[in-house]
Amino acid sequence: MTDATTNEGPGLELAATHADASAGEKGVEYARVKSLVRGALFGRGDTPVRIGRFTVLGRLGQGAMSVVYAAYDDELDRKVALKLLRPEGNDAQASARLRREAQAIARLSHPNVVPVYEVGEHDGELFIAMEFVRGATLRTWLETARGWPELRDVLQQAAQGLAAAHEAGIVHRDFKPENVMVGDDGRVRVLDFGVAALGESGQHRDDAGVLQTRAGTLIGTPAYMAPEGLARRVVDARGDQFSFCVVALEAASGRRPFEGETIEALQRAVETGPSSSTGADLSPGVRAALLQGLSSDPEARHASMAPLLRALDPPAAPRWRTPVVTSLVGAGVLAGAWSMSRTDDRCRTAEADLAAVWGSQARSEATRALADAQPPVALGTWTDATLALDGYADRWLNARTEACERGPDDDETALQVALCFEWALSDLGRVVDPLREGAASVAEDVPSRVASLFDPGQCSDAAARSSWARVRSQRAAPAPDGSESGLLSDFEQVPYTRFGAGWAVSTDHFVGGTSTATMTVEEGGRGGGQALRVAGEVLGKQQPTWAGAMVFLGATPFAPANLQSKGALSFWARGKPGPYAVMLFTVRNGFEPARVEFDVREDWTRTQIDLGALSDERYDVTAIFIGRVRPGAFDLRVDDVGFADD
Amino acid sequence: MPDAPARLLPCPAVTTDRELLEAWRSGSAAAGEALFERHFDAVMRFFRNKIDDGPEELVQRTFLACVEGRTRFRGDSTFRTYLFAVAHNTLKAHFRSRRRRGVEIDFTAESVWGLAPSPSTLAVRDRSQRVLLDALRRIPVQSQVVLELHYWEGLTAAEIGEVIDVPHGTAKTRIRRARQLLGAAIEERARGESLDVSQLDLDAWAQSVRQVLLR
Repeated sequence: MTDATTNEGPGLELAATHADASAGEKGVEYARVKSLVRGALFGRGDTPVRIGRFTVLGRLGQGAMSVVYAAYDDELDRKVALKLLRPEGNDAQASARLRREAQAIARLSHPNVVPVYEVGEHDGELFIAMEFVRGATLRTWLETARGWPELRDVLQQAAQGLAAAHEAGIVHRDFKPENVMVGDDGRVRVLDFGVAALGESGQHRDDAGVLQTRAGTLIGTPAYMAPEGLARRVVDARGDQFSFCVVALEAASGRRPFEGETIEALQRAVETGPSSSTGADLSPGVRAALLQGLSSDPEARHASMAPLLRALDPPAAPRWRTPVVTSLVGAGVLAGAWSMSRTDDRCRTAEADLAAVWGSQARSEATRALADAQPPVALGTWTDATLALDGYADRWLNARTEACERGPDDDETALQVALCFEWALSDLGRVVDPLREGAASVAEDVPSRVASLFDPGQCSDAAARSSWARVRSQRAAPAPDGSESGLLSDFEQVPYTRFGAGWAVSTDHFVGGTSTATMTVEEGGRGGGQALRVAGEVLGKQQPTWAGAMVFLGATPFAPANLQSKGALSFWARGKPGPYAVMLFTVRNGFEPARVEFDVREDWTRTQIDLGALSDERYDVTAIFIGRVRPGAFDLRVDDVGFADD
Repeated sequence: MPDAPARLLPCPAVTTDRELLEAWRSGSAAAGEALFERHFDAVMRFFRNKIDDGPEELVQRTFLACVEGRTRFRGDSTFRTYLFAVAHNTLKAHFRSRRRRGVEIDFTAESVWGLAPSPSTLAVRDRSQRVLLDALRRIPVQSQVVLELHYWEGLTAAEIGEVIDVPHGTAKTRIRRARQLLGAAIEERARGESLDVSQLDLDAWAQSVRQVLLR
């Protein structure tokens, strides 16, 4: 490490061979991580990493060409977001130009654009200091279901930010949900104007003084990119308009209007144009404005962002200023209408859901995995298998589309129908998944296994549906050969069922430490059944800390599960000794508490809780474990979970 | 490849890695820190082109796992090999924890590109070098691990076998297969970047990137 510093010139000398020439030996990122880990492991050496007058506080994220840190501005006493870019090219001239361009962006001032405070250079890395926005990216913000009025407001603010930049002659070039911050204060700010282009050396100003990028370089994020950008031609403000419309439609419907796994496929999709159902649940005015912005010919788009802004204006404003009681009712109705339309998302995502189980990726993975298999799979066998899978996939999609087009009878029925289709897919996945892992021995059985799957056409038939749900829940117990992963694993696959869940939290989570936990279902519990395993980590702490984990074993109205009468929960955890407690709640039929047990142990030996005679009724069982664990990983297992086989 | 490359050492190696590890395991923080100083860069390199979040958690977990000794230290292994085996297990656990909606991540089939589609190719400026790093991210994770250990860290096939826990012969096959995958991925990437790779000597190219990464 030490000798790496000897051949380093100061400042602007950007030799191409100096990979990480900054902050000491290997760059800000090495220095930051090393200091953090050394501090965590040995309790010292946690010296702050500095970039100019900024002290790095932590890492916020990473893009293709940059890392973003939270940092503290010592001089102005404020927190900033600091983006570190690595310019391509190695001459001081290119670097100076990059700096000028970034400063032009820094002069842009608009409430919906993140202010850039300073642009500078630190050991060959270009940094941009900007406002530290407390809030979430649009991507994260959209993970919560949003009503249209709220969504429209956010989109409109983002559009205003873009429009202001365009007026100043600045093109964003990489507009996407990750580059829009929704502040906790409700104000929306667009980030990273032109930054995508800064890493490339081929930009210049055209006659009108507009920052442009040399044609021939792909800049930005393909999924949101206008066709002229995908074709590596010059992108102007109308390219941003296109990206904005992709983002708006994705935000409103949960799905991008164009999809493709390669640039070529995306280009074809854009040329073909969006499908007729794109934006179907938006108002006609908004939909038409967004679709025009998606034209593959820039000339056919809006001349500026202004028409889009007008289309996004809230309709008939006075209606929102009616007395409180009325407007609350109105909001309730609106929210109801919105949630109905969100239910239809399952229809919209049908193709993608299917593709996740048996699509081009699954097919190529399986083909690749089986090509390496020993003994090899005969080509004819594989052809038969894929034909069977394709046939089922077709039947599933047709039945799903038909059910969607007919529309739901009521919410309850719609949910059950949706579940039925999900289960059918999940079962299809159990046929496909071993193939993706290269299990050659099962390839031959694929046609017969597919033939034994539930006919998705029957999902619309109430009687067939419910009798299948019963059969399916009986199948819950693990197969004797262990090949079937059993009902518990459905928790991972079917969000509407809840058969097992684990979480862990460290109390220190709230004072700076973090903890995470994941749950897996494994074969080979101590009694031969399945084991739930909660693996967690307590991070960033020196001292032992409290951690907890909770396990649910329950049933839902759709798939009752009977707990084995002789089942027992046993906990054990790896880690250093320390007192811990286990609590067990059993709840009858979801509501009445039936039993509460509490057990405190002095060490981490296995503890057993007999589930006893729980077999006759439907119970939800919640077991809570609380213990003191060392920093680092801990491992909690609940052994021998089983279901009665009756 | 020597046990620990001399250029990474902060001072002359008077104590072996193994002695330091044993001292750390019996409570000597100073020994632990010396070991950490020797091997931090290699562990950082291991994670950096494979995850898009900050690598500090995985780096920390790897060193902690070493001192806790959860992965068995084969008697004839070098500490570096052992360390990479631990890092490999840590990486696998990390990806497993990211599993979503029952999509089982197959470590041998899934690429880092699919798992974390934002390449951390920050370390190099040269476009052809970036193509190599990007292509590495697009082949299955295990192939990426195998090739990076081979090219960057100079591990032998036998050592790589220990890291990914397969016999020597299988490791050789995996390296060969990984090189084929990488070649195909590079051609694909090069088309997108209008880069001519027809005359490409993969090994020499990888070595040039290694010079940059190790500097």
